[in-house]
Amino acid sequence: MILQAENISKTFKKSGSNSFHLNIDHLEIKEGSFTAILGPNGSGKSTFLKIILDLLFADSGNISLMGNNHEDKQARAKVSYLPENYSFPEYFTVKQMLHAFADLKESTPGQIDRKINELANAFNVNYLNKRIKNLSKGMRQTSALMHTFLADDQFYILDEPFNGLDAVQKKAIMDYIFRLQQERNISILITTHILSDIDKTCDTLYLINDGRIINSASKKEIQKQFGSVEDYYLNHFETKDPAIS
Amino acid sequence: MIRYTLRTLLKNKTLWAWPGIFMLFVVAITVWGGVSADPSSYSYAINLGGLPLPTGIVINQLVSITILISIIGIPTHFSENIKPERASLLLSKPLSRSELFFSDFMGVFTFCFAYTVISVLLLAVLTTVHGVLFPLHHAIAIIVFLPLILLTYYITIVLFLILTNSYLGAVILGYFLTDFSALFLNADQFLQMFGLTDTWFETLLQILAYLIPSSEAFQQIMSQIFDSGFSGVDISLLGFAFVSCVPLALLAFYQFRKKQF
Repeated sequence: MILQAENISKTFKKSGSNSFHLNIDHLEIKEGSFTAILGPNGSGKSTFLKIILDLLFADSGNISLMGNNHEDKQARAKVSYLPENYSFPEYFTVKQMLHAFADLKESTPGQIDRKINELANAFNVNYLNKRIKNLSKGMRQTSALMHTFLADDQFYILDEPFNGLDAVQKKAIMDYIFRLQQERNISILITTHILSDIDKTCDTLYLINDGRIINSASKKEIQKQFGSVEDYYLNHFETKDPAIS
Repeated sequence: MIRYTLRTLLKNKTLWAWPGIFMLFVVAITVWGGVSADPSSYSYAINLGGLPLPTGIVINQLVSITILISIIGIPTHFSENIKPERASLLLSKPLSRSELFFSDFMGVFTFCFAYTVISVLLLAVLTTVHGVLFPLHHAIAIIVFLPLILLTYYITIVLFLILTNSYLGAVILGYFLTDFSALFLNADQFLQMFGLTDTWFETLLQILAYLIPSSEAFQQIMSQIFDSGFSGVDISLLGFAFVSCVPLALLAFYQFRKKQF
Protein backbone atom coordinates (compact mmCIF):
# COMPACT_ATOMS: atom_id res chain seq x y z
CA MET A 1 0.00 0.00 0.00
CA ILE A 2 1.32 3.43 -0.98
CA LEU A 3 -0.84 5.45 1.39
CA GLN A 4 -3.19 4.52 4.21
CA ALA A 5 -4.90 7.19 6.31
CA GLU A 6 -7.10 6.29 9.28
CA ASN A 7 -9.22 8.55 11.51
CA ILE A 8 -7.45 11.79 10.62
CA SER A 9 -8.79 14.88 12.31
CA LYS A 10 -7.62 18.46 12.24
CA THR A 11 -9.33 21.58 13.51
CA PHE A 12 -8.49 25.09 12.37
CA LYS A 13 -9.63 28.16 14.17
CA LYS A 14 -10.90 30.71 11.70
CA SER A 15 -11.78 34.34 12.34
CA GLY A 16 -14.31 34.89 15.10
CA SER A 17 -15.79 31.78 16.61
CA ASN A 18 -15.79 29.83 13.33
CA SER A 19 -13.62 26.78 12.90
CA PHE A 20 -12.95 24.22 10.18
CA HIS A 21 -12.86 20.50 10.96
CA LEU A 22 -11.18 17.94 8.74
CA ASN A 23 -12.21 14.35 9.47
CA ILE A 24 -10.97 11.61 7.16
CA ASP A 25 -12.07 8.21 8.45
CA HIS A 26 -10.36 6.05 5.87
CA LEU A 27 -8.47 6.59 2.63
CA GLU A 28 -6.05 4.29 0.89
CA ILE A 29 -4.06 4.35 -2.32
CA LYS A 30 -2.74 1.23 -3.97
CA GLU A 31 0.42 0.89 -5.97
CA GLY A 32 0.08 1.97 -9.60
CA SER A 33 -3.26 3.69 -9.03
CA PHE A 34 -4.44 7.11 -10.21
CA THR A 35 -6.57 8.62 -7.44
CA ALA A 36 -8.34 11.96 -7.40
CA ILE A 37 -9.76 13.95 -4.53
CA LEU A 38 -12.49 16.27 -5.71
CA GLY A 39 -14.43 18.88 -3.85
CA PRO A 40 -15.41 22.55 -3.79
CA ASN A 41 -13.05 25.33 -2.70
CA GLY A 42 -12.22 25.19 0.99
CA SER A 43 -13.43 21.62 1.38
CA GLY A 44 -10.09 20.44 2.84
CA LYS A 45 -8.34 18.85 -0.17
CA SER A 46 -5.04 20.76 0.11
CA THR A 47 -5.14 20.55 3.92
CA PHE A 48 -5.33 16.77 3.71
CA LEU A 49 -2.41 16.61 1.26
CA LYS A 50 -0.33 18.79 3.60
CA ILE A 51 -1.16 16.53 6.53
CA ILE A 52 -0.01 13.50 4.52
CA LEU A 53 3.35 15.22 3.99
CA ASP A 54 3.61 16.37 7.63
CA LEU A 55 3.55 20.03 6.63
CA LEU A 56 0.47 20.41 8.83
CA PHE A 57 0.10 18.33 11.98
CA ALA A 58 -3.04 16.24 12.44
CA ASP A 59 -4.71 16.42 15.85
CA SER A 60 -5.20 12.65 15.76
CA GLY A 61 -5.07 9.66 13.44
CA ASN A 62 -2.53 7.48 11.67
CA ILE A 63 -1.01 7.83 8.24
CA SER A 64 1.23 5.26 6.64
CA LEU A 65 3.12 6.59 3.64
CA MET A 66 5.22 4.18 1.55
CA GLY A 67 5.11 1.73 4.46
CA ASN A 68 6.48 4.22 6.99
CA ASN A 69 4.92 6.58 9.49
CA HIS A 70 4.33 9.79 7.51
CA GLU A 71 6.26 11.83 10.12
CA ASP A 72 9.41 9.87 9.31
CA LYS A 73 11.45 11.64 6.64
CA GLN A 74 12.14 8.26 5.04
CA ALA A 75 8.44 8.09 4.15
CA ARG A 76 9.01 10.99 1.74
CA ALA A 77 12.13 9.51 0.11
CA LYS A 78 10.16 8.26 -2.92
CA VAL A 79 7.40 10.87 -2.89
CA SER A 80 7.17 14.03 -4.98
CA TYR A 81 4.77 16.83 -4.21
CA LEU A 82 3.54 19.75 -6.26
CA PRO A 83 1.74 22.25 -3.98
CA GLU A 84 -1.01 24.45 -5.35
CA ASN A 85 0.93 27.56 -4.32
CA TYR A 86 4.68 27.46 -4.51
CA SER A 87 7.58 29.86 -4.67
CA PHE A 88 10.91 29.18 -6.34
CA PRO A 89 13.90 31.52 -5.97
CA GLU A 90 13.01 34.24 -8.49
CA TYR A 91 16.57 35.02 -9.51
CA PHE A 92 17.38 31.41 -10.48
CA THR A 93 17.01 30.25 -14.06
CA VAL A 94 14.74 27.23 -14.55
CA LYS A 95 17.79 25.00 -14.95
CA GLN A 96 19.48 26.40 -11.82
CA MET A 97 16.27 25.92 -9.84
CA LEU A 98 16.00 22.30 -11.00
CA HIS A 99 19.63 21.65 -10.03
CA ALA A 100 19.17 23.32 -6.62
CA PHE A 101 16.10 21.25 -5.70
CA ALA A 102 17.56 18.06 -7.20
CA ASP A 103 20.30 18.24 -4.54
CA LEU A 104 17.66 17.71 -1.86
CA LYS A 105 16.62 14.25 -3.07
CA GLU A 106 18.60 11.07 -3.31
CA SER A 107 16.18 9.62 -5.85
CA THR A 108 17.26 12.21 -8.43
CA PRO A 109 19.05 10.42 -11.26
CA GLY A 110 22.83 10.79 -11.44
CA GLN A 111 22.79 12.30 -14.91
CA ILE A 112 20.63 15.24 -13.92
CA ASP A 113 21.14 17.24 -17.12
CA ARG A 114 19.95 14.29 -19.19
CA LYS A 115 16.80 14.04 -17.07
CA ILE A 116 16.20 17.81 -17.36
CA ASN A 117 16.49 17.59 -21.15
CA GLU A 118 14.14 14.59 -21.21
CA LEU A 119 11.53 16.54 -19.22
CA ALA A 120 12.07 19.68 -21.33
CA ASN A 121 11.36 17.63 -24.47
CA ALA A 122 8.32 15.95 -22.95
CA PHE A 123 6.85 19.24 -21.64
CA ASN A 124 7.78 21.40 -24.68
CA VAL A 125 10.07 23.62 -22.59
CA ASN A 126 12.54 25.86 -24.42
CA TYR A 127 13.17 28.36 -21.62
CA LEU A 128 15.54 26.46 -19.34
CA ASN A 129 17.91 29.43 -19.20
CA LYS A 130 15.21 32.00 -18.47
CA ARG A 131 14.94 33.40 -14.95
CA ILE A 132 11.90 32.29 -12.92
CA LYS A 133 10.85 35.92 -12.39
CA ASN A 134 10.51 36.39 -16.16
CA LEU A 135 8.23 33.39 -16.72
CA SER A 136 4.51 33.52 -17.48
CA LYS A 137 2.03 31.66 -15.23
CA GLY A 138 1.86 28.67 -17.57
CA MET A 139 5.66 28.53 -17.88
CA ARG A 140 6.02 28.64 -14.09
CA GLN A 141 3.50 25.83 -13.69
CA THR A 142 5.32 23.69 -16.27
CA SER A 143 8.64 24.41 -14.52
CA ALA A 144 7.07 23.39 -11.20
CA LEU A 145 5.88 20.14 -12.81
CA MET A 146 9.41 19.56 -14.13
CA HIS A 147 10.66 20.00 -10.55
CA THR A 148 8.08 17.44 -9.37
CA PHE A 149 8.97 14.81 -11.98
CA LEU A 150 12.72 15.36 -11.75
CA ALA A 151 13.26 12.57 -9.24
CA ASP A 152 12.50 8.93 -10.07
CA ASP A 153 9.86 8.52 -7.38
CA GLN A 154 7.02 6.06 -6.83
CA PHE A 155 4.28 8.36 -5.59
CA TYR A 156 3.37 11.79 -6.97
CA ILE A 157 1.03 14.09 -5.07
CA LEU A 158 -0.25 16.84 -7.35
CA ASP A 159 -2.37 19.69 -5.99
CA GLU A 160 -4.14 21.42 -8.89
CA PRO A 161 -1.33 20.55 -11.34
CA PHE A 162 -3.02 21.98 -14.42
CA ASN A 163 -3.50 25.53 -13.13
CA GLY A 164 -2.74 27.99 -15.94
CA LEU A 165 -1.87 25.35 -18.54
CA ASP A 166 -3.26 25.28 -22.05
CA ALA A 167 -4.73 22.14 -23.62
CA VAL A 168 -1.51 21.24 -25.45
CA GLN A 169 0.56 21.45 -22.26
CA LYS A 170 -1.99 19.45 -20.29
CA LYS A 171 -1.92 16.69 -22.89
CA ALA A 172 1.89 16.65 -22.90
CA ILE A 173 1.95 16.26 -19.12
CA MET A 174 -0.77 13.61 -19.02
CA ASP A 175 1.07 11.67 -21.74
CA TYR A 176 4.23 11.81 -19.62
CA ILE A 177 2.36 10.58 -16.54
CA PHE A 178 0.88 7.66 -18.53
CA ARG A 179 4.35 6.78 -19.76
CA LEU A 180 5.67 6.75 -16.18
CA GLN A 181 2.76 4.57 -15.07
CA GLN A 182 3.54 2.05 -17.80
CA GLU A 183 7.31 2.13 -17.26
CA ARG A 184 7.53 2.36 -13.45
CA ASN A 185 4.03 1.65 -12.17
CA ILE A 186 3.92 4.99 -10.32
CA SER A 187 0.96 6.08 -8.17
CA ILE A 188 -0.73 9.46 -8.49
CA LEU A 189 -2.86 11.40 -6.03
CA ILE A 190 -4.35 14.47 -7.63
CA THR A 191 -6.73 17.28 -6.74
CA THR A 192 -8.24 19.35 -9.51
CA HIS A 193 -11.22 21.51 -10.36
CA ILE A 194 -11.07 20.63 -14.03
CA LEU A 195 -13.05 17.42 -14.12
CA SER A 196 -12.51 16.73 -17.82
CA ASP A 197 -8.76 16.39 -17.09
CA ILE A 198 -9.26 13.25 -15.08
CA ASP A 199 -12.33 11.81 -16.76
CA LYS A 200 -10.44 9.08 -18.59
CA THR A 201 -7.47 8.69 -16.30
CA CYS A 202 -8.61 8.13 -12.72
CA ASP A 203 -9.19 4.68 -11.25
CA THR A 204 -10.57 5.93 -7.95
CA LEU A 205 -12.25 9.15 -6.90
CA TYR A 206 -12.98 10.56 -3.47
CA LEU A 207 -15.46 13.40 -3.03
CA ILE A 208 -14.74 15.68 -0.09
CA ASN A 209 -16.97 18.36 1.37
CA ASP A 210 -16.64 20.37 4.59
CA GLY A 211 -13.63 18.29 5.58
CA ARG A 212 -15.34 14.89 5.18
CA ILE A 213 -15.20 12.28 2.47
CA ILE A 214 -18.81 12.05 1.37
CA ASN A 215 -18.40 9.46 -1.36
CA SER A 216 -15.85 7.33 -3.16
CA ALA A 217 -16.14 5.34 -6.35
CA SER A 218 -14.08 3.49 -8.90
CA LYS A 219 -13.90 4.51 -12.54
CA LYS A 220 -16.08 1.54 -13.54
CA GLU A 221 -18.73 2.42 -10.98
CA ILE A 222 -18.82 6.03 -12.15
CA GLN A 223 -19.07 5.06 -15.81
CA LYS A 224 -21.84 2.58 -15.03
CA GLN A 225 -23.91 4.85 -12.79
CA PHE A 226 -23.19 8.39 -14.03
CA GLY A 227 -21.44 8.19 -17.40
CA SER A 228 -18.73 10.75 -16.59
CA VAL A 229 -16.80 12.18 -13.65
CA GLU A 230 -18.49 15.54 -14.24
CA ASP A 231 -21.96 14.02 -13.86
CA TYR A 232 -20.81 12.11 -10.79
CA TYR A 233 -19.47 15.33 -9.25
CA LEU A 234 -22.52 17.42 -10.16
CA ASN A 235 -24.82 14.76 -8.78
CA HIS A 236 -23.25 15.24 -5.36
CA PHE A 237 -22.52 18.96 -5.32
CA GLU A 238 -24.98 20.73 -7.62
CA THR A 239 -27.43 22.84 -5.64
CA LYS A 240 -30.61 23.76 -7.37
CA ASP A 241 -31.86 27.34 -7.17
CA PRO A 242 -34.91 27.18 -4.85
CA ALA A 243 -36.57 29.99 -6.80
CA ILE A 244 -36.53 27.85 -9.98
CA SER A 245 -37.45 24.58 -8.35
CA MET B 1 20.49 21.43 2.16
CA ILE B 2 23.81 23.21 2.81
CA ARG B 3 24.43 23.35 -0.94
CA TYR B 4 20.91 24.71 -1.50
CA THR B 5 21.51 27.45 1.13
CA LEU B 6 24.88 28.31 -0.39
CA ARG B 7 23.38 28.51 -3.89
CA THR B 8 20.70 30.96 -2.74
CA LEU B 9 23.16 33.07 -0.71
CA LEU B 10 25.68 33.27 -3.54
CA LYS B 11 22.90 34.52 -5.84
CA ASN B 12 21.92 37.24 -3.37
CA LYS B 13 23.01 40.56 -4.89
CA THR B 14 22.80 42.44 -1.56
CA LEU B 15 25.54 40.21 -0.21
CA TRP B 16 27.81 40.94 -3.17
CA ALA B 17 28.27 44.35 -1.50
CA TRP B 18 30.37 42.63 1.19
CA PRO B 19 33.40 41.69 -0.95
CA GLY B 20 32.56 44.78 -3.03
CA ILE B 21 33.21 47.10 -0.06
CA PHE B 22 36.54 45.38 0.67
CA MET B 23 37.50 45.59 -3.01
CA LEU B 24 36.68 49.32 -3.07
CA PHE B 25 38.68 49.86 0.11
CA VAL B 26 41.72 48.05 -1.32
CA VAL B 27 41.50 49.95 -4.61
CA ALA B 28 41.05 53.31 -2.81
CA ILE B 29 44.08 52.75 -0.54
CA THR B 30 46.18 51.45 -3.44
CA VAL B 31 45.35 54.43 -5.66
CA TRP B 32 45.08 57.32 -3.19
CA GLY B 33 46.86 56.11 -0.08
CA GLY B 34 49.40 53.67 1.20
CA VAL B 35 50.23 51.06 3.81
CA SER B 36 53.39 51.04 5.84
CA ALA B 37 54.79 48.97 8.69
CA ASP B 38 53.83 50.38 12.09
CA PRO B 39 57.06 50.83 14.07
CA SER B 40 55.21 50.81 17.40
CA SER B 41 53.61 47.37 16.95
CA TYR B 42 53.54 44.19 14.87
CA SER B 43 50.77 45.78 12.84
CA TYR B 44 50.67 48.20 9.92
CA ALA B 45 49.60 51.81 9.36
CA ILE B 46 47.14 52.88 6.68
CA ASN B 47 46.92 56.33 5.16
CA LEU B 48 44.46 57.75 2.67
CA GLY B 49 45.22 60.98 0.78
CA GLY B 50 48.07 61.71 3.17
CA LEU B 51 45.91 61.30 6.30
CA PRO B 52 46.87 58.47 8.68
CA LEU B 53 43.95 56.16 9.50
CA PRO B 54 44.09 54.27 12.82
CA THR B 55 44.19 50.59 11.83
CA GLY B 56 41.90 49.47 14.65
CA ILE B 57 39.20 51.95 13.64
CA VAL B 58 39.51 51.00 9.95
CA ILE B 59 39.10 47.29 10.68
CA ASN B 60 36.21 47.97 13.10
CA GLN B 61 34.44 50.09 10.48
CA LEU B 62 34.90 47.40 7.84
CA VAL B 63 33.52 44.80 10.27
CA SER B 64 30.54 47.06 11.12
CA ILE B 65 29.70 47.57 7.43
CA THR B 66 30.01 43.83 6.87
CA ILE B 67 27.63 43.15 9.76
CA LEU B 68 25.11 45.63 8.36
CA ILE B 69 25.24 44.14 4.85
CA SER B 70 25.01 40.61 6.21
CA ILE B 71 22.05 41.11 8.51
CA ILE B 72 20.14 42.73 5.65
CA GLY B 73 21.12 40.10 3.06
CA ILE B 74 21.55 36.76 4.81
CA PRO B 75 18.11 36.35 6.46
CA THR B 76 16.27 36.86 3.14
CA HIS B 77 16.71 33.20 2.21
CA PHE B 78 15.46 31.90 5.57
CA SER B 79 12.57 34.34 5.41
CA GLU B 80 11.65 32.82 2.02
CA ASN B 81 12.21 29.24 3.23
CA ILE B 82 9.65 29.53 6.03
CA LYS B 83 6.90 30.93 3.81
CA PRO B 84 4.37 28.11 3.23
CA GLU B 85 4.89 28.35 -0.56
CA ARG B 86 8.62 27.53 -0.23
CA ALA B 87 8.48 25.40 2.92
CA SER B 88 6.03 22.99 1.29
CA LEU B 89 8.55 22.46 -1.52
CA LEU B 90 11.48 21.92 0.86
CA LEU B 91 9.82 19.91 3.60
CA SER B 92 8.05 17.57 1.19
CA LYS B 93 11.54 16.29 0.37
CA PRO B 94 13.08 13.66 2.68
CA LEU B 95 14.30 16.39 5.03
CA SER B 96 13.40 16.67 8.69
CA ARG B 97 12.76 20.07 10.22
CA SER B 98 15.88 19.56 12.37
CA GLU B 99 18.03 18.90 9.30
CA LEU B 100 16.63 21.94 7.53
CA PHE B 101 17.23 24.14 10.57
CA PHE B 102 20.78 23.04 11.41
CA SER B 103 21.99 22.70 7.83
CA ASP B 104 20.73 26.23 7.24
CA PHE B 105 22.99 27.46 10.04
CA MET B 106 25.86 25.41 8.63
CA GLY B 107 25.23 26.87 5.18
CA VAL B 108 25.18 30.43 6.55
CA PHE B 109 28.37 29.82 8.54
CA THR B 110 30.12 28.32 5.50
CA PHE B 111 29.04 31.29 3.40
CA CYS B 112 30.23 33.84 6.01
CA PHE B 113 33.50 31.95 6.39
CA ALA B 114 34.12 31.92 2.62
CA TYR B 115 33.35 35.64 2.22
CA THR B 116 35.53 36.46 5.27
CA VAL B 117 38.46 34.54 3.75
CA ILE B 118 38.00 36.51 0.51
CA SER B 119 37.92 39.78 2.49
CA VAL B 120 41.08 38.92 4.46
CA LEU B 121 42.84 37.87 1.25
CA LEU B 122 41.99 41.27 -0.24
CA LEU B 123 43.48 43.01 2.83
CA ALA B 124 46.55 40.76 2.63
CA VAL B 125 46.99 41.65 -1.05
CA LEU B 126 46.71 45.35 -0.14
CA THR B 127 49.48 45.17 2.46
CA THR B 128 51.68 42.88 0.34
CA VAL B 129 51.46 45.28 -2.61
CA HIS B 130 52.92 47.93 -0.29
CA GLY B 131 55.66 45.61 0.95
CA VAL B 132 54.12 45.03 4.40
CA LEU B 133 53.15 41.64 5.83
CA PHE B 134 49.51 41.35 6.96
CA PRO B 135 49.81 40.09 10.57
CA LEU B 136 48.82 36.41 10.73
CA HIS B 137 47.02 36.79 14.07
CA HIS B 138 44.87 39.59 12.58
CA ALA B 139 43.95 37.33 9.67
CA ILE B 140 43.06 34.37 11.90
CA ALA B 141 41.10 36.58 14.34
CA ILE B 142 38.97 37.98 11.52
CA ILE B 143 38.49 34.62 9.77
CA VAL B 144 37.43 32.85 12.98
CA PHE B 145 35.45 35.54 14.76
CA LEU B 146 33.71 37.58 12.04
CA PRO B 147 31.52 34.58 11.02
CA LEU B 148 30.75 33.96 14.70
CA ILE B 149 29.76 37.61 15.23
CA LEU B 150 27.43 37.34 12.22
CA LEU B 151 25.93 34.12 13.58
CA THR B 152 25.01 35.82 16.87
CA TYR B 153 22.86 38.29 14.91
CA TYR B 154 21.51 35.53 12.67
CA ILE B 155 20.32 33.42 15.64
CA THR B 156 18.21 36.26 17.00
CA ILE B 157 16.87 37.23 13.57
CA VAL B 158 15.91 33.61 12.79
CA LEU B 159 13.97 33.38 16.05
CA PHE B 160 12.05 36.56 15.25
CA LEU B 161 11.48 35.41 11.66
CA ILE B 162 9.88 32.19 12.93
CA LEU B 163 7.78 34.06 15.49
CA THR B 164 6.69 37.02 13.38
CA ASN B 165 6.93 35.86 9.73
CA SER B 166 8.09 39.41 9.01
CA TYR B 167 11.50 39.92 7.42
CA LEU B 168 11.71 43.62 8.23
CA GLY B 169 10.47 43.23 11.80
CA ALA B 170 12.81 40.31 12.46
CA VAL B 171 15.88 42.09 11.08
CA ILE B 172 15.24 45.28 13.05
CA LEU B 173 14.37 43.47 16.30
CA GLY B 174 17.23 40.98 15.88
CA TYR B 175 19.78 43.67 15.13
CA PHE B 176 18.90 45.87 18.10
CA LEU B 177 18.46 43.02 20.59
CA THR B 178 21.83 41.49 19.65
CA ASP B 179 23.44 44.91 19.82
CA PHE B 180 22.14 45.23 23.38
CA SER B 181 24.57 42.43 24.27
CA ALA B 182 27.15 45.23 24.71
CA LEU B 183 24.96 46.76 27.42
CA PHE B 184 24.36 43.41 29.13
CA LEU B 185 28.04 42.42 29.03
CA ASN B 186 29.16 45.69 30.58
CA ALA B 187 26.16 46.07 32.89
CA ASP B 188 28.12 47.21 35.94
CA GLN B 189 29.92 49.97 33.98
CA PHE B 190 26.68 51.26 32.48
CA LEU B 191 24.92 51.24 35.84
CA GLN B 192 27.77 53.15 37.44
CA MET B 193 27.77 55.64 34.57
CA PHE B 194 24.09 56.40 35.18
CA GLY B 195 24.49 56.33 38.96
CA LEU B 196 22.28 53.24 39.35
CA THR B 197 23.16 50.99 42.25
CA ASP B 198 20.11 48.71 42.20
CA THR B 199 21.47 45.20 42.56
CA TRP B 200 18.17 43.69 41.36
CA PHE B 201 18.51 45.56 38.07
CA GLU B 202 22.15 44.53 37.76
CA THR B 203 21.21 40.88 38.30
CA LEU B 204 18.50 41.16 35.63
CA LEU B 205 21.02 42.54 33.12
CA GLN B 206 23.48 39.79 33.99
CA ILE B 207 20.82 37.14 33.40
CA LEU B 208 19.90 38.77 30.08
CA ALA B 209 23.58 38.68 29.12
CA TYR B 210 23.36 34.87 29.18
CA LEU B 211 20.10 34.82 27.22
CA ILE B 212 20.96 37.11 24.29
CA PRO B 213 23.66 35.98 21.82
CA SER B 214 26.67 38.12 22.71
CA SER B 215 28.14 39.64 19.57
CA GLU B 216 29.93 42.05 21.90
CA ALA B 217 31.85 39.21 23.58
CA PHE B 218 33.11 37.90 20.21
CA GLN B 219 34.05 41.45 19.17
CA GLN B 220 35.99 41.97 22.41
CA ILE B 221 37.88 38.70 21.84
CA MET B 222 38.74 39.81 18.31
CA SER B 223 40.08 43.11 19.72
CA GLN B 224 42.08 41.20 22.36
CA ILE B 225 43.79 39.19 19.60
CA PHE B 226 44.46 42.34 17.58
CA ASP B 227 46.06 44.00 20.62
CA SER B 228 48.01 41.16 22.25
CA GLY B 229 47.84 38.10 20.02
CA PHE B 230 46.25 34.78 21.00
CA SER B 231 47.83 34.85 24.48
CA GLY B 232 45.59 37.83 25.30
CA VAL B 233 42.33 35.92 24.77
CA ASP B 234 40.05 35.79 27.82
CA ILE B 235 38.99 32.11 27.77
CA SER B 236 36.08 32.66 30.19
CA LEU B 237 34.75 35.41 27.91
CA LEU B 238 35.05 33.03 24.96
CA GLY B 239 33.10 30.36 26.85
CA PHE B 240 30.47 32.93 27.85
CA ALA B 241 30.15 34.04 24.21
CA PHE B 242 29.29 30.51 23.05
CA VAL B 243 26.97 29.83 26.01
CA SER B 244 25.02 33.04 25.34
CA CYS B 245 24.13 31.74 21.86
CA VAL B 246 22.49 28.57 23.17
CA PRO B 247 19.15 29.76 24.69
CA LEU B 248 17.81 31.68 21.69
CA ALA B 249 19.16 29.08 19.24
CA LEU B 250 17.30 26.33 21.13
CA LEU B 251 14.16 28.44 21.36
CA ALA B 252 14.29 29.12 17.60
CA PHE B 253 14.77 25.38 16.95
CA TYR B 254 11.83 24.49 19.21
CA GLN B 255 9.57 27.04 17.50
CA PHE B 256 10.65 25.85 14.05
CA ARG B 257 9.83 22.23 14.87
CA LYS B 258 6.36 23.30 15.97
CA LYS B 259 5.71 25.48 12.94
CA GLN B 260 3.09 24.32 10.44
CA PHE B 261 3.20 25.20 6.77
